[in-house]
Parts: sequence; C-alpha cells; structure tokens
Amino acid sequence: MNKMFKGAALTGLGVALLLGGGGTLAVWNAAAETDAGQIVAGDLNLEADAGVWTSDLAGGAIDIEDYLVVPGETLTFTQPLSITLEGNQLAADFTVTGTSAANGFASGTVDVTTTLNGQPVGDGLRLTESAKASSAVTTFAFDADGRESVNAEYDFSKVGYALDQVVPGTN
Amino acid sequence: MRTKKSLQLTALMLGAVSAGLLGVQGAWALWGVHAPSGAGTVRAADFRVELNGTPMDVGGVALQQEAALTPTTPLHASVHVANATDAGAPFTVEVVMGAASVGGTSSQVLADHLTVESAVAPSSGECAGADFGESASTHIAKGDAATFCLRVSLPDDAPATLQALSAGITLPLTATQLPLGP
Repeated sequence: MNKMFKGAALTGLGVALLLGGGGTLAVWNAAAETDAGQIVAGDLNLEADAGVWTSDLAGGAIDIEDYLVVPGETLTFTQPLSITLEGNQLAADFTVTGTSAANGFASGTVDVTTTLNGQPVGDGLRLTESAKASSAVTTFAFDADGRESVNAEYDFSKVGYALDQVVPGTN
Repeated sequence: MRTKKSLQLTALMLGAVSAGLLGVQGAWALWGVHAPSGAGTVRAADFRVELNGTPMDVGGVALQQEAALTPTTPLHASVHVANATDAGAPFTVEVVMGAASVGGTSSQVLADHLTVESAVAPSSGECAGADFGESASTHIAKGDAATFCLRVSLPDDAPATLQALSAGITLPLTATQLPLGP
C-alpha cells in the first residue's frame, strides 16, 4: 500500500512538471477570412390554370358539366401549366395523378392519354428546365359496341399533375 | 459474465445505430408539388330510340290491326320511330326495318300468300302513298323522328280458304349510330 502511494505521488509529480513545461511552448498560428459568397436555393413549382374541354364533333369548347359524350367522339382537355425548375442540378419527373381504371365505362371503351407540350407523359416525363407556358393535353377517346357504357361516368375530379424532384445524378 | 453481457449490449446498440443511420441516408428529402386539374366528370349519353314513345331496347312494339284483309284491300300500319338521345354532339342513327316473318297462323297457306312490305312514310304521313319494298331504312338525326309504314296484302287470286284465318307478323327494327366527322 505504501509502495502504491509513493508510485502515485511520483507519477502526479511528473505530470505536473510536464504540464508546467507545456505552458511555455511558443507556437505559430495565423487566421484569414474567406469570401464564400451566398448560397441561393432554387425553386420547383407547378401551377395550373383553368382548363378547357373541347369536342371533335361539337366543334369547339364544351361545358363538361352538361355535356354527354357518344361513341366515336374524342374529348380534349387542354390546361395551361407553369412549370418552374430553377437549380443547376435540378431535375424532376412530371406525372399525371389520380387517373383510375375504376370508372363507370365498360372496359376497353375509353382511351385516356396525356401529353405535355406534345410529349407523351406516360409513366412520367423527365424535365430539367422551366417551362412557364406549358400545356397539358388529355384526350378522352370513347368507342363502344351495342349499348356499352350508356350513361356511364368517368370522374376526373381527382386527376392532377405532380412534379417530383429526382435524386441528382440519377437518370 | 458481466463483461460478456456488456459486450453484447454494446454490439446491439452499435448495430441499431448503424441501421438507423443507413435508413436515414436512404430517405432523401426532395422537392415535390402537386396541382389539381379540375377536369370534372365526363358522362356518356343515352342511346335512346323510341318506338311509339317506348324505348326500343325494352322490347318490341305491338301493332294491333283489327280491320279485315281482303285480296283487294291491303292493310296498313305504322310505327313512329324517334331518336331521343341526349348526346351533346350531333348524333344520327340509321334505322332499318328488315324483312318480315309470318308466324302464328294455323294455315301455312295463309303465310304463303301474305305479302308484307315496309316503307318510310312520305312527308304527307299517308302510308298509302309510300314506296313499299321488302325493307326500308332512313337516317334520323338527334331529336328527329320518322314513321315507318307496313303494308300487308293478299294476291287477287287468293283462295277463299284463307277466310277467317289470322297470322302474326314480326319485323326486325335496328338502329345504328352513324359515324360523324367534325
């Protein structure tokens, strides 16, 4: 026990000496400021204006609330969109949401397609730059046999557009 | 023993922390925006063709003719066909009255001597002045109507054994939407 106490005391003395000596070291140091500028975040936005339904048979704009489509007719919904993609590495996928096969029309009697600025949207259209004066066009082509789909309804109220950023560097 | 448990606990915590960090790394926070279209609801029209005011898809229409048919006096009947669709666009149908079939008679001789013809009524509406043939057809636009005439006749030399016989006559009527361009 006595030996341990002596050893500990000697060790403490050594550490104290080292600390005392360290305080007397003279070291160089320097500092400088850097002007890194400002970091500005980009922007991703999608705004839709009121769209217009037209009929190839009626020959112009129609009021979809009162209009009844017949086989052989194609209705077109044209909607102005403003797409903002600001960011050096910003890319996003444009998709149509809310379309559902669950509607009142008989299977195979309706063909619904959407294009953005003339390009088919399909499962998603990759965008890399803003397009303030865009146009989304959805066509509703109706064809039927016999009395198929008489008085049927296709609800587009939940249909919309989504713009989702993709991970930078991915295709 | 205690040391072993401590090591196991430490390893477990390290594993949990690593898994958590990896999970967080996979969940990128990316921008996304959604805009509704407000496109409303598309509704299909009704394909409604009426025979004497009754939808033709419900069933046929019966034309009762109580007058007597003689070799010199043909019988006429008519059916009013209306295109009552509520379509938004122009919607024209072609209505065809096909060849008749005679049945429901106790005498095949009567069926063999009966002549059934059809025609679209002239503008006067008088079936007697119509141009009869084996079948007849016309186009009826949305909201319009037409009258089809039937004429049942016996030849001048019909045998007297046909007297007091009766027969049922069936005529098929089909309505088909006509394709229309813009």
